[in-house]
Amino acid sequence: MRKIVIRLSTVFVLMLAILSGASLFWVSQQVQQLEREQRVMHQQVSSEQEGIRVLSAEWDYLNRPERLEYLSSRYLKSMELVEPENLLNDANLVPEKQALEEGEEGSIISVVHPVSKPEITKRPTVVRDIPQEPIEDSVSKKTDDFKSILDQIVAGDHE
Amino acid sequence: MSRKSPFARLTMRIVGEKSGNLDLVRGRIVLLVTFFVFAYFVVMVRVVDATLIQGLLNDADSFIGAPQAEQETEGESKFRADIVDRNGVLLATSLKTASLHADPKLILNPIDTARGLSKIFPDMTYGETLKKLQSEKRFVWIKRNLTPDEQMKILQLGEPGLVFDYDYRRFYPQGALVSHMVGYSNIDGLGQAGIERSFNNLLKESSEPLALTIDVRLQHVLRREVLKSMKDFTAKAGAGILMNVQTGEVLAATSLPDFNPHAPSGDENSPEMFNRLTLGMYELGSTFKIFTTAALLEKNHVSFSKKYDTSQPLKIAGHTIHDYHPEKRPLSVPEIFMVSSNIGTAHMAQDIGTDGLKDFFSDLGLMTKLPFEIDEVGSPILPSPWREVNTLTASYGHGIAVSPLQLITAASSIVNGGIKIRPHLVKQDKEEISSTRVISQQTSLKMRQLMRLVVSHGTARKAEVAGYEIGGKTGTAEKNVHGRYDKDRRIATFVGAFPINDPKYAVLVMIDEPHPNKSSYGFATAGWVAAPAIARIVSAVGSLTGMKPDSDAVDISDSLMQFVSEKGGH
Repeated sequence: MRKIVIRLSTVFVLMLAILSGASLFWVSQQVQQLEREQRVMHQQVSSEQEGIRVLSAEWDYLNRPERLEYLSSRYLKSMELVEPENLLNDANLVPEKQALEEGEEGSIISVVHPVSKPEITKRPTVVRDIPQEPIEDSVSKKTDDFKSILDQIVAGDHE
Repeated sequence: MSRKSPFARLTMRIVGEKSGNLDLVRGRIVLLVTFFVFAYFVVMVRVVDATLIQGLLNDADSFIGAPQAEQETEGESKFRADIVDRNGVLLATSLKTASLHADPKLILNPIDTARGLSKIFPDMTYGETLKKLQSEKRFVWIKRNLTPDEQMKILQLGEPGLVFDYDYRRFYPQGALVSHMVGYSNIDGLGQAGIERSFNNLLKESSEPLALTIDVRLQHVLRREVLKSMKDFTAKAGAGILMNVQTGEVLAATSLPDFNPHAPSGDENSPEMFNRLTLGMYELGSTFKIFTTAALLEKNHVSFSKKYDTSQPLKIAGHTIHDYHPEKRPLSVPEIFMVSSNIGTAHMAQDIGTDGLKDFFSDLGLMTKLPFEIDEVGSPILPSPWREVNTLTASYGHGIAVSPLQLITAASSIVNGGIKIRPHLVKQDKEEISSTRVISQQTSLKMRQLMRLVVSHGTARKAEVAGYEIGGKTGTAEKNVHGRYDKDRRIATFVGAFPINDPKYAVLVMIDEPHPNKSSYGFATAGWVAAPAIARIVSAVGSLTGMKPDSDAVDISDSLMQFVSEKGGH
């Protein structure tokens, strides 16, 4: 009878050992897996950050004042730099249409008279050469791939 | 043996004479078997762990050029913090780039690999690459600093012998624009010039970007216009500064020719590596009359109506001081300043005295090395010993050489109400305004009137921009070549401030060795060379910074016209 009692306790201890061993194994596996996930996440974060760094460098490279000036001179032909004498401090100083029309004839702003007969006044509309094809930015086209950006950065001024 | 348990045999009893021995043996066998069963169990668990759990889950990061490799080099990484301008635009940044090397022992198919590589990199020949890949070494460099696109293509080759190394490389998105201030760093990630050098340790350790006071838009305007003047007058070099007169923030600073920070010249003595703003020392000529006149007004309390005789060249200790355009009559103080008379200014210096002028110059920081955030700062060249004749020549900017940055710093102190400023390049959260006074507010106002007079009626009329009220002083100095002043080699300088009624910005343009052209009617003086550049800079800077032109502003030089005779106002 005594032998059976010992055997039961042995079995119990054995079971406990197996159970605790298995649970230890399971926990350690979980920890390893979580660590692995965390590492992957860290890598993703740092690679995203690197990506952001590259993009912001590219953004500032493409927005160099020199390049913007070149592009605006090329594609915004009808727009010019504001000269100091074009600026007025007071909005009220802007000449009104009516006053101009009464005051001097043939002024730049021609106003259709509100009389019964609608007259058609000819306006000198100058159509400056509007680009026929969609505006393409050859510079940015060239720099679509990062290789040429680096090449250009390395080569320095290209204009 | 009634119980048919699986362990029944374990409890088997042997009876007999030597049963004790047999029991012992059997016990040992059972122990041995248990040990082996346990050992096999351990092996089984390890096999499951290694093949299924570790093997499958680690699949993700087992590709070529495993990122673990990059983490090993993290310790000695060449990362440097970004340098940005005052608005956060990148001036210098570190980007991670991959470099490719190969282990020829692990290359499976050298022929295909060499063919693929020579296709990706057109500058690599097939034969040479093949030779590299078949060498006996365990490590050969293929290509440094790959682009992500190239790296992708290499990965697609699927060659296990090709290995990537990751490190940071310095990029300057603005190119040469701010090269002399930002400087550059070498391939080992060490700063070699400018801010990159003087803040080397900070940039290596910090991850926060370092903000400068430079504004790339204003920098571009300044550089473009100085470059244009250099081109128009086929000049050798040029320099320009735009500074906040109250705080000393350097908003734009250019020294031309400048260099490409990605490929700086190895030769330190080549002209594009020389920082003319801070390291170059020049005799800046008549611009020094600002300081002499200010000293006279401040120390001697002279009134504008006082006249000095300029009819005769001034002879002293074997030197003769001439005027460029002799007026040959007594001139009042505003007239002397306006027509830039050397004789008149030398007479003023005689009134001030040697000690008085030296003290005043040193109050303005013209006698000592200027403290500035970059290392390339030179010391002024002063006459030694300083005799009376040196006082007279120094009064109109000869025999004393300072850097353009020193000149504009001193001129800013004169026009900003008389407060000494400290020029700086690194942006501060809160700009401190110094409280050291150099001259009184009244003297400062008088000096601004005089400087306005130079632009409205004097030598710098080409610098005029309606509405921005520029005031300043021109200076054309002959260069001292091997101890002799060369009439054909000049330095044309303009230093001024705007709007002069309440100055916000000081601006300086210096052109080194300009040559006359047709549009300047054979002149290459500062009024023809530097002043037009100032006008272009001011009108662009004004609209960029949102400064409203005031067309109704009072011309503060008008009240000086009573001291200027008809003949003088040309």
